[in-house]
Amino acid sequence: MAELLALFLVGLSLFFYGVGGIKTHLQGLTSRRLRHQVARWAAHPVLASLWGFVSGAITQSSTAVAFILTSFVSSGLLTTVRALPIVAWANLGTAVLVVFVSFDVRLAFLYVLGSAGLALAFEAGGARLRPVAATLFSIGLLFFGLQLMKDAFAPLPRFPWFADLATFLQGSTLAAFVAGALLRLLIQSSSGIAVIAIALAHGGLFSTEQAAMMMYGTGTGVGLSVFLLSSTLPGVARQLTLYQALINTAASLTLAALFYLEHLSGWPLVLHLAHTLSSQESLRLACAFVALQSTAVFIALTCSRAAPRWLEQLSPATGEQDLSRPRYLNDQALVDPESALDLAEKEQVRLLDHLPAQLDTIRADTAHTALVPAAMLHAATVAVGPQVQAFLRELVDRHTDHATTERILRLEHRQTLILSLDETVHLFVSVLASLRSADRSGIEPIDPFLDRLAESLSTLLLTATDAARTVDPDDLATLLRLTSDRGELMERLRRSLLGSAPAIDHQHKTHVFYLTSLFERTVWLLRQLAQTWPQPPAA
Amino acid sequence: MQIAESKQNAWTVLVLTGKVDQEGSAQLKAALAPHLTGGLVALDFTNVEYVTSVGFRVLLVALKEQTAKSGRLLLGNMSEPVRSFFDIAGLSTTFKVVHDIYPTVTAT
Repeated sequence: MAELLALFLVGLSLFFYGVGGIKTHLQGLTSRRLRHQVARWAAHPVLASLWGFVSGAITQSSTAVAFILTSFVSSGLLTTVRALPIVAWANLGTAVLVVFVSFDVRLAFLYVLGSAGLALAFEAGGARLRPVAATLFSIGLLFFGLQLMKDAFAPLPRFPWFADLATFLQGSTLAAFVAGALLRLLIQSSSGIAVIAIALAHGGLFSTEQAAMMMYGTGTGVGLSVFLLSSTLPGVARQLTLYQALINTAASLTLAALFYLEHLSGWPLVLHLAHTLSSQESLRLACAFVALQSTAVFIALTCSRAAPRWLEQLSPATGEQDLSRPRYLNDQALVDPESALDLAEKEQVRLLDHLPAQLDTIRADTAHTALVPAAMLHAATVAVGPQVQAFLRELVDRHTDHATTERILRLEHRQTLILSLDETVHLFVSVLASLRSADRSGIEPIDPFLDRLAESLSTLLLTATDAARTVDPDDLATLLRLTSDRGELMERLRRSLLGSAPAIDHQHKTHVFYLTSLFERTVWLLRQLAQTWPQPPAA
Repeated sequence: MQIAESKQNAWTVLVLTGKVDQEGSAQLKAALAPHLTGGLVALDFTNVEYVTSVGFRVLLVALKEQTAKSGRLLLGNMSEPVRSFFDIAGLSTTFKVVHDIYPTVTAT
């Protein structure tokens, strides 16, 4: 018995080592370019479904796919709506392994394992092919592990205790369902548990019905497991995983209900269908697993329209997430370049609004107002900025006329300036905030000057956002007038500051000089920004 | 903030007292609104301690309206700190800022 247990443990460890290896080595194969390509595939419903199916088949864990996609959504590469069908189809993808296992593919995978192992040992193909060989080796290990587990259970019926256990479990399909759910909490692979269930049925420990119920239980296990694992994820990041939990639990409970209905009423349902399809027990159980995953996909497709709304209610975006995702950009708009550019401009105005809002956090006037922290606004601009740039690049790739191309280039330049402005204003706010928080008494003599600097900067930024919103020639002319060179004035102010406030120490003086430099840079950038709109005629 | 309104020849003179901050800006906006009809408006900043960006915004909008209607908006009697607000923000060249508004408003 000890030998069989050891064999089972070796098989289990090789299986999970293989699953982990596939995930790790696939990451080595995914470049940034491929990730962007994948994001494009997600825009197409059929390709998105295929992507989900293949991801599920490769990783053997739709939960892992949901968590990977969560990182894509968090990085802005995908929207939650687009990721939903991928997660749904990943569930069906995991069934591939179970179907494979039900056939005798042992010899084929032994060859894969052997040749990939030798390629790794002798570094055949160099560094470039190493991730491919490592991935194949992991796949081979996974199947070899499964085979060992099957072999381990084969002699079980010969043991006397086995008969006792089989008698105890006889007819307890509910216990098998609960065991499946609990095992899924421990072992993060439904297909892995399905294979174990097949092996248990193969060894005679479980009846076909019990093995099927154990598989159905994994759906509820996925729900529990994902619910627990994602409990610390904030807002939008949790939506995908909640979706995965809900569709799997619903599928699991639906099939368990159908099982009992079939059992009690004698109506031909899922198990009858599986019996009709195959005389082989392992294949019949594979069919039951496919039925579970197909039900999850069916539920997902049925709820696809309402799901985003429900998820938004269940796990609403946090303030930061709301700010950090584009409000106006959408890929459907890309078909009409002019409308797409209008949306990009609206998004840019929204980002410009973040600039005076950052300053508000240090202005005396807004001291008692609840404000969005400057760091959050800065992070939001940093997150949305590249998405605006990618959106504009996407438009460049499409064939557009000369005027549209010129407008795109102007908006690209404006976007670069907005990001530079954000960086400069954020530095200004950070330096001033740290200066005030560190030692207020040390800067008292120059505090009024710092106030004026902050209010003036805020005025300039508000004028810029007004001009960007109205694109009124008068507002643009005002912005150009306000942003004329004031190097001489700033130099005079610095000198007078040094003369009138000799009490401030060297470090504070350095900070003040730095702040005035940042102010001058902001003025210069705002002037450049004003020039990205068609110039008003000279007065 | 307190705003005292008076008429001097063709000019409407608003004497401001206090801070042109968030609250003061709203008061200033309301006080200016009926006079932005293209006539002559002068603001006396003698008793103003502080002007915030929101206040500047109100003044810029008022200037835009007055200019569009061929009116005038004259600002003056500022203390040195308030004047430096205007200088740093580059507003001294945008607005007509004078040392003393009264010679102008009494002469016209």
